[in-house]
Amino acid sequence: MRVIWRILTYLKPYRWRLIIAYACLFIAIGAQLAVPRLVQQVIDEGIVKDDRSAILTGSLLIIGVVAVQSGFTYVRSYLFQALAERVATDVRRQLYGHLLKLPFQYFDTAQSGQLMSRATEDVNAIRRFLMFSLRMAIYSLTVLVIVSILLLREHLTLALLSLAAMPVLAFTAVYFSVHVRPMFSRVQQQFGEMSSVLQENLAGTRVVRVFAREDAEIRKFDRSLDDLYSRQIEAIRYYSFFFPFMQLLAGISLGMVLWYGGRQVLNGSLSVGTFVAFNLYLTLLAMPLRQLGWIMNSVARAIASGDRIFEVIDTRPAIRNRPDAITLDAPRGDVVFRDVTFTYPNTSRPAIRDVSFAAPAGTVVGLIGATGSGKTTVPSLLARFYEATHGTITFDGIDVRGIELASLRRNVGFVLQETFLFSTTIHDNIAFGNPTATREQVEAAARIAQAYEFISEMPEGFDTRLGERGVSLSGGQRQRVAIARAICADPRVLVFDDATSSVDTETEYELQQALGRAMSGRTTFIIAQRVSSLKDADEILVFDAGQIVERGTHRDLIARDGHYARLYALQLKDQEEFVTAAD
Amino acid sequence: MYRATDPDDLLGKAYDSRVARRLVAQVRPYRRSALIALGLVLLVTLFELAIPYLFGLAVDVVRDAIDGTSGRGFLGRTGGDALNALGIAFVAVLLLRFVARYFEMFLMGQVGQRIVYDLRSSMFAHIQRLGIRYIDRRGVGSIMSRLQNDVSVIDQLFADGLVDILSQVALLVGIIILMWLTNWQLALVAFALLPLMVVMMRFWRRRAILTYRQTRITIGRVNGFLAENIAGMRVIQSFTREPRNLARFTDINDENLDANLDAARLSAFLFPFVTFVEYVTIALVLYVGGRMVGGVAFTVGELVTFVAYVGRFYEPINQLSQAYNTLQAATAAGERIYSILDAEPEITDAPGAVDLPRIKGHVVFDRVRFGYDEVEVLHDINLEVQPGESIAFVGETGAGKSSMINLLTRFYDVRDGAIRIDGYDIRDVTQQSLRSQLGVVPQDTFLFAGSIRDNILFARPDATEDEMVAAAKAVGAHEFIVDLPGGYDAEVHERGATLSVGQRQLISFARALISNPRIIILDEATSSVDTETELVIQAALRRLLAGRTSFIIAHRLSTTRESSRVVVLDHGRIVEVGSHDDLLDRQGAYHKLYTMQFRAAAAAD
Repeated sequence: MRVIWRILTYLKPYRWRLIIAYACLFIAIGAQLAVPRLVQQVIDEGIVKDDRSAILTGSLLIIGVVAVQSGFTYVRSYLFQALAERVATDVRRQLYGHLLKLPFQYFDTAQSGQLMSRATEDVNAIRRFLMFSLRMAIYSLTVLVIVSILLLREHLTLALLSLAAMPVLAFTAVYFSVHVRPMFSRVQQQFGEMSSVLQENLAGTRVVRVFAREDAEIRKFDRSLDDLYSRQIEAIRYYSFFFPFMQLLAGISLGMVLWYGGRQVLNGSLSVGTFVAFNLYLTLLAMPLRQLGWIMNSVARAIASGDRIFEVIDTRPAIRNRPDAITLDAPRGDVVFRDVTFTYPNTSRPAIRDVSFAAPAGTVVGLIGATGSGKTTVPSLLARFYEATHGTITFDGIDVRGIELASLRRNVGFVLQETFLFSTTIHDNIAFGNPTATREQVEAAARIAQAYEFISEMPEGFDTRLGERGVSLSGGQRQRVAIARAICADPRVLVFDDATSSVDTETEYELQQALGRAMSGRTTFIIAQRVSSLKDADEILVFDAGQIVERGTHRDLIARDGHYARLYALQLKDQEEFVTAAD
Repeated sequence: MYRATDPDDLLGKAYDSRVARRLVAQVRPYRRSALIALGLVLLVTLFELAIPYLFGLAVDVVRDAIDGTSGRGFLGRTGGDALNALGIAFVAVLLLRFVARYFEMFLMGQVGQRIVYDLRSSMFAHIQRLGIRYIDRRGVGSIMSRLQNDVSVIDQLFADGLVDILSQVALLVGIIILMWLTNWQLALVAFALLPLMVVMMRFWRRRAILTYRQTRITIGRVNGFLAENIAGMRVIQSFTREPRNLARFTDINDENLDANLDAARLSAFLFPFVTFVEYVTIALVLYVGGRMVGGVAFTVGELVTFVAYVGRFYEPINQLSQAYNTLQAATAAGERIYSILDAEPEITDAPGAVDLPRIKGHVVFDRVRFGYDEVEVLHDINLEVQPGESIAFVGETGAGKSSMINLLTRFYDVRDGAIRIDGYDIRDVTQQSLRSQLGVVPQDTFLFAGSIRDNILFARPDATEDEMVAAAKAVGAHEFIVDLPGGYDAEVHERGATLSVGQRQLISFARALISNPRIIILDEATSSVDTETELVIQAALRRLLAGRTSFIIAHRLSTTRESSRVVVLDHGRIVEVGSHDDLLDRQGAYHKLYTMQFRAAAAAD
């Protein structure tokens, strides 16, 4: 219930519209309930007494009242829909705005599909709740109370008899909705299963075919269809019974009016008109009661969806600006790590332990080590994507925790291992970190990144759109665009995270050239698995199990004959000899 | 609740009778159930119409009793007796309607599910026969959406649409007939506003198509933006784009709100309008009919029945227009479904194709030419490979290495020339017998959700436990597998997330080895792994290839060095063939390709 309240608080900015919407709803209900009464008047006063003028005024009154009803129904229908749309828009914006503030570690654990379904499915559930249930709940209650009072005042015993089926109807509707929900979710679940069988088959289609397993796959898929079928049938059997059953219950009330009411007319305690009006009122009553199950479902869904949305919104951004945070002006790029330890959430072993080093402005630092040795963690801590557990990190001598986040991150440029480009033009991608960059600046960055040539060969050059409906670039091209993006933002510190790992040899060579030029005048961190990328570094830090086990220049480390020298021997030595021999 | 019908429905193409006929043909295997359901629909309609009729009779029975006139009566009775009989008849009609509806809904639902099952099953089976090219071109997402969403639309059609259309049409016809029979003058009055209604509905629909298209486009933009931004959140935060992207999102989001408000303005109109027309008609009927009562043999009860019919008259009209949407959507979905089912497999077994007998592994590329489209990517390839030889393909991206392998596995057919294995042209043998004798290790190590056991046995599910363990041992995977919790039964998560890159490679090797193939085809992974893993993979590779004919797209120096011959491809031609050492001595293309990578490193020293 707290969740529902919280959803309702989103209506606060629109409370006047809400009040007007309800006012319209009540007026429309009033008009709607007056109609059976007017019909009764026409019959009793006009037709039975054969009074033509009463028939005329009655008919005109009906038209007038229905005009009022329709007018106000239009306004309330628009207002409720509009409210729901406005709140959905607000929730979506708040959700997105909040995601922008959440740290990397949130996205490490949260699945993007899950987050997407919150922003779409769950927002939709709230939208439907506001559009439908908010109105229907009040409507049903009002109609129920008023119609019951009207009928009871008209004829006590007939009213009681004909209303007797109503609680049963309400109970049935609720019972049905409670019991059918798990059936539908079982259907939904199996639909998901079927989809993943399908998805795997399509994604792994080469594997299926090279191993000639098509027939087995067909059998597997048919099995998942079998399950889906039987779950569907279970749900169908259920609602095939309940919908007609609810109709039956509503019909029985009418039967009561027909039989018992008819006898009352015969013994003179009921007029023919009232007899007809009873019938009309009961029809009005049955509809909202049948919707009761619907409302229940919608409320339950809104609660579940609200929970999921608020769970995201309530996640406090772990990394925030301190109130006294300062902005870097004229940054140089001096980076110092002092005894830095960091443990990822939900793990026990620190990813890095007691890491200390100094990278004066303009130097190149190489980070090398096996997968999981902690080398990639270092620059993430510098940019405060994660917060160090112990120790201090300074940028230009200032503790990074005291620097305004945006100003810190503007000065640390990343070329990440997995190149993510946005589906917009190449220009916009390169200018991503510096949206006001001119075409000249963008082109200059592309030149440094060795991307200018292939970009200008494209039919639309820098205005070529990337992504789903645009051009797709090769791995090497994507990475060069990413390098240009980092250069265009002109940060004081550049980080290359294994940026040359997934390209062929020729491209790797070109990328090396591009990197060399990008680094000039900046503090650079190169994270690599290959020794070849690091030979020019001013200092190489060799990581093993989260600690720096060796440090020094390439020459120093070879001379030391330790960890680094072993890696070197494995990777490069014989190849180097081969080149020397070949030259 | 205007979203009840997907805006897509409104955009559907005009009703296509050819597709509709094919959809109807899907019902054939279940025609008995379907016909029974249809009969029940008509019965339900009859009961539906009987309810207001009986009520009208009751009104007349009581009215006549009060007035002391001998009116219509019921089954020859009057007064209280007639009322009792009417009550019983009423309850009987209700019960019959309940029973008929139950069976009708259940049968129709069942038929619908059967058809949905058939469609999905035959689409899936057909996709397995279609070429890989088809899937590459259409994309996984688009094919998934055919099997999920489009088939669900057909499901909708059978579940609600079809029954709705039939019962509404029956109801409408029934009401019109009954109204006409009761009092044709009054029936004309009731129909008076119908033209107005139809005109307004058409006008409304035209506006709605445009408006809903806008809501669909804008929500698509919102969701697309969100999906991309969630996936690229690290980049956004790295480049401190938060304020800009939030502003952009607010714009896109507001555009969607505007479109939705437009749609709300429009959809709010329909229901009140229909209600208004309905009640104006009722008022007209009351006024005109009221003046007739007592005149030309027209009773109050008949008037009441009439009013009730008017109330039910507009409902089918409203619902029919909804049903029309469902029908349109189903035709559009059907068209997309049949486009898959009608796609011709590009690679088929030749008529009279024989099973390739157990091969030794002698492979010949004989003047092979090939292209994916008009552009030829392999020109005049000649290559003879002896059993047991290992061939490394090298060359730049686009040189034709992958095409060689695509042809050998017969994912594509040669344009000219032939590929022969042990003297058999691979186009003359069944695909099944060819592929089951090839051990393939794709570049992207794709593991299926399931246990490690399932994945190794994928190529040969009938292999014994010992054979499986032997294969895993042969590639050096046994040790780490038994260390996993669950051992061979350990679950491999989606895309093998819980295993390291190296471990996945080894499982993929074991999978290729389990059927003890004479030919191994391997596309070496390009991504760098750490050095220790690299060593483990190299050792495994050596054992995998031992004694078999093998074709490798090589990215590692160590691989080319250990192969019997290196084939250098350039722009679709073989430019050099020979052992690693021979080719280096030749100082040609191979030499150039591999010095490029290491020159920079060496020069730094």
